[in-house]
Amino acid sequence: MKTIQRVVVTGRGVVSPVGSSIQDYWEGLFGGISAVRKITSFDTAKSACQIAGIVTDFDADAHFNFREKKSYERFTQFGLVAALQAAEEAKLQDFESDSGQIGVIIGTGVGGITSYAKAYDALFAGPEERPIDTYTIPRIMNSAVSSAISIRLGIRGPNITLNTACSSGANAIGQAMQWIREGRLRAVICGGSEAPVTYGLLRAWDALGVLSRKHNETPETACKPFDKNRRGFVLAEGAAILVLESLESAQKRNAEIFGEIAGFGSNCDAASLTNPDETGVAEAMRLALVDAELNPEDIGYINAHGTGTRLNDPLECRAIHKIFGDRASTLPVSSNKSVFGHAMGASSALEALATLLAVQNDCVPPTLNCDEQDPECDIDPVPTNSRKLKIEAALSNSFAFGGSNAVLAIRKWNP
Amino acid sequence: MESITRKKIEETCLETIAKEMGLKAGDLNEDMKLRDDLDIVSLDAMNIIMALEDEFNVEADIETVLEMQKVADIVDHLAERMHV
Repeated sequence: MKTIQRVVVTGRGVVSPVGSSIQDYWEGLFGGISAVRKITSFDTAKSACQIAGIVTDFDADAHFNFREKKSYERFTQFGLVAALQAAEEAKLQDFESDSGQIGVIIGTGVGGITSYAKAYDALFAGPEERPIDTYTIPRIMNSAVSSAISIRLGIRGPNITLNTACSSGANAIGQAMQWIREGRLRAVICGGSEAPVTYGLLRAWDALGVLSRKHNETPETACKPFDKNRRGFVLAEGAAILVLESLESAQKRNAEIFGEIAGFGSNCDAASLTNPDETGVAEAMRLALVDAELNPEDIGYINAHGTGTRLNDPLECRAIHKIFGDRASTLPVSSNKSVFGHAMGASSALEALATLLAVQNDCVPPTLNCDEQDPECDIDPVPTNSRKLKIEAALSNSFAFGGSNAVLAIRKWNP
Repeated sequence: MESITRKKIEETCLETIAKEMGLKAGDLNEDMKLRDDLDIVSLDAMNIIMALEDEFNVEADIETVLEMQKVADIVDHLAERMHV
């Protein structure tokens, strides 16, 4: 019987609205520098919400040749570039003769949605149909991102793309952790990637009434998690990719260790396609703690799902009280979505990376725009500025339409 | 209406290939091999043929297109379909 393996992080990569390197992500997010901006890639005049978290420092020409640019949609490009950063940091070339022992599992919510729009335009937008680009299918397919990573890095283990809407990235990281823990694989490249800022999707999310509409002229104030005046989130794009590895493998090759993925709670509310459920959300946190063999008092920080919608924030805070009791009122709980928006299937991976950085550096990233805390959100939202704080372990919460919750427990690595 | 010549088909073909493959039309000629010289794979070839079909209002034979080796093969095929 195989031994249960501890699972550690040995590589990290990111493309995000606050920056597209680990250093830039750290400085932007923990510095509380908002990356919500006016959308300029299409005309937003008819949209009530005209802002989003946009990646501005990404130069596709620096990373891809002509054929790759033709073949890879923006979400695939983001995911591949973040994966290459993570693979380089983890020195995955050490596995050269053992690439069947590495897996890839990536979460995405809407995949290559930009190419869907172009294909429909070709069919319906003009007086006559125009030819549909033959690269439409490889650009659209959700699995393009995980496949592109395996192809570029020559990785021959399992290659999976996973979709659980806004918890996709966290579920991918959790699944990767389980593969390694069970001894099936030595290492897994995992995370989430998304590029959902298209006109159609902007209008579709706005139709649900969950996008912030009142701050088009002051985008940095748009998302106000836990605040009395919160009115929703803004869309965002980006990717965060981790290399997870068994502790045994990492120690054998003297790899640098950035933290431990200690537990994973994954469940379903089984209640509603769109409304979160307090019981299910609390249970996901409890499952993550049990899986990590941690007690609630071991947790020094919670990276919230924190969408800034009327419905989510008080419900998430009540669920935190269910698990953490009276201590919840003073527990640091912050929302990265206040800084760079909601990157759908990638958001939970970006937030898991933020949680890892928080635990590694003993620093909690802030919640921006929580100026008048809602008494219904009875937690410590760490407003405005990041906070130095000793953190041994933290939770990263992610909840999704469909009721698919994923909570990761991340522990500091103490050699 | 301007009558279509083989020369016109060749020029349009080179321009279409250049656009699809990110190249300059002036650097191309019809003796070039699609795969070895121009890195054209089946997806690119289909995009090129669809654009040319649109341009000349003609239907190419897909099976023939996928067997083509050189730029001249595309030009010849289109010329044949247009009775040029």
